[in-house]
Amino acid sequence: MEIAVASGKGGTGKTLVATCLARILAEYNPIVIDADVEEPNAGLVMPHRVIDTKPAFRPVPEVDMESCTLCGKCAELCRFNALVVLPSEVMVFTELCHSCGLCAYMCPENAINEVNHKIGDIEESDLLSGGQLITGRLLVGEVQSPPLIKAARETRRQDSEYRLVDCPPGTTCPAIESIRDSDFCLLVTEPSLFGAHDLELSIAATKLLDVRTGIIINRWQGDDADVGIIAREQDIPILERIPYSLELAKSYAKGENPLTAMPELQVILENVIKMVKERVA
Amino acid sequence: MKNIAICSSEDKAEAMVDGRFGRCSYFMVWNPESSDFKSLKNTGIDAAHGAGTGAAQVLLQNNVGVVLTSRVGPKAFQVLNSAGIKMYQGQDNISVQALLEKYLAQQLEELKQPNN
Repeated sequence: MEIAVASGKGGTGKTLVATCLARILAEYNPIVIDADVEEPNAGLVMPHRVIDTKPAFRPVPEVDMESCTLCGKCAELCRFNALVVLPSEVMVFTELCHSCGLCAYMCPENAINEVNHKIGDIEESDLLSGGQLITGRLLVGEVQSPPLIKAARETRRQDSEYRLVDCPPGTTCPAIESIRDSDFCLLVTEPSLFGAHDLELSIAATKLLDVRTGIIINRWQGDDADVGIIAREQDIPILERIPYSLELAKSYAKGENPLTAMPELQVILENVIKMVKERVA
Repeated sequence: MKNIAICSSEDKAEAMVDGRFGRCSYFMVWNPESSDFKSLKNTGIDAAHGAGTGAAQVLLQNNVGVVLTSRVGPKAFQVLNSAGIKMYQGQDNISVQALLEKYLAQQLEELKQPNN
């Protein structure tokens, strides 16, 4: 079972939930996939030992000027304006390319080859608590993270009954690539206007993706506020509420086990696992 | 002779210039042989990415040798520069026609690097 832990707003507690679920599920050797590849941080709070690091690539066009007739077809077709045909050359803007392959496919002279362009690394680790951690790490300066996220999600050293995807925030391509085709999406939010606003966007995304969804309210202080209204309107269950706790925040910031600072978190998240299993079954 | 393109907010020579290159609404293209303007709608204006490279490609296909613009980004600059299209520093709050006249009177400075 693959559970995507996502949120609209950043900083709501995705990594807290994903890594605590991994601690609770330790006996099943779960796999945590850190798909927040622009700033992966699950490894900061989960003691681990790195086993292997592999480069990740995405295809980009390379034009063979021996065969190219400068016909302009590639530039005309590219939806991202990543190729420009000049009077005596073709310029390729790799950072604009979305690796769709249309230019290579459609080139009448077969003058375009897709070549590998390195975008980051995938780090495979053993979690000291049990299980594995797969971390995607985007290279500085690279702007297209979805192919790296896809590769991280496809990395399998040893499969597990539980795969937990720590997703990037938001509802743009990186978040979509992290959530799509998972069995369940846990949307972690906070009971603020900002949290509620972005939660609504995330729910719209998981509905489009046809992924079953449930809400966890973090930093709960006795009132679901606007999150409650949205959950009712959108017919998405609030699975659990994690109480606001300064002690938890302090301990988490030190890299300590949050389940020690807040023992009730264990009960809360065990209940989340139970409810997710019921809904996926 | 090569045409002169000016970034414009509307499709007429009396219109005010548009300060941006890649995301201007129209290019007014002046033909020095006929002294006529023709307008090109900038289809890249709504592009999520690559508005500058897309606009540069359109100008290349329209025999443009000179661009008058206030701001041009690094990728568009690279294309225009490589294609031998010269860029001149435009002005704000001025009509397309008036900016062209300043260029013809050699009052505009050539842009030697991207400025956006």
